[in-house]
Amino acid sequence: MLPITLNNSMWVLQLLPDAAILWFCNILLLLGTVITVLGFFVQRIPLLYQYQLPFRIAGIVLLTAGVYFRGGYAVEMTWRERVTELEKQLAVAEAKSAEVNTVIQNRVVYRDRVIQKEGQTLIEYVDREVVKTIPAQCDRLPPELIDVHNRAANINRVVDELKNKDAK
Amino acid sequence: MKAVAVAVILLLAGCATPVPVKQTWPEAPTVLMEQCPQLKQLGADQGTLRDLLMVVIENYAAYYHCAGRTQSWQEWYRQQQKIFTEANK
Repeated sequence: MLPITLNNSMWVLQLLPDAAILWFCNILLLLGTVITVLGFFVQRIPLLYQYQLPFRIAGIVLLTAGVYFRGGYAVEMTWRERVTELEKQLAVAEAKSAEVNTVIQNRVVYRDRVIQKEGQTLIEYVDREVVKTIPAQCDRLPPELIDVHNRAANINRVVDELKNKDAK
Repeated sequence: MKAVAVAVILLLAGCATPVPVKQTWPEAPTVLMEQCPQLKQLGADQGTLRDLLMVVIENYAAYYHCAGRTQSWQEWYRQQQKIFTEANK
């Protein structure tokens, strides 16, 4: 539970300037090292010999915290570099994506225009040439043929009906 | 020994950091978001062979209109997948 709590506090590093974090970590590490070393020799200093245990405890705590935050800082910097790199890659990807969209959009619009024009040309051709070739007795369509054509054109209605039935 | 284990766990806990990068879903071209049209039917007043031909031509055009969009969706997907893969290498 404790490591998770400490790990959750690492997000604070993202809010601080790089130099401030580095200074804090280095001072903590240096202070921890100095006090830990002092803890081993403090019994030889006349006025401080009685504080040997507090010195050792404080030194080890500060040293541990210093190592922890220095490690956290190194990892944080590595991640920041990766994040910057990834953000650059994503920006390039977004630009490429927009470019692809433009190309596809233009292609679809052009294709639609060609299809519409070809359809119009065919309709004009039918009116100009084909109508003349249709014998009068064949011109009227039987109602059954129209019905079958319309049912075929509307064949997707069956799927919609099935979907509605399933929904009920 | 226990103290060393606790210290190692504490020190290694600093090595896990979440990555605050969000990748947004690419927007599709607006033209691809259009619905395919319904096929036309012959009306009650359209009983000649010419009318049938007109409706058939329009329906074929509608099919190719829609087929073009489907092909473009596939093309869009392939291109976006390629871009996504390259960005996440």
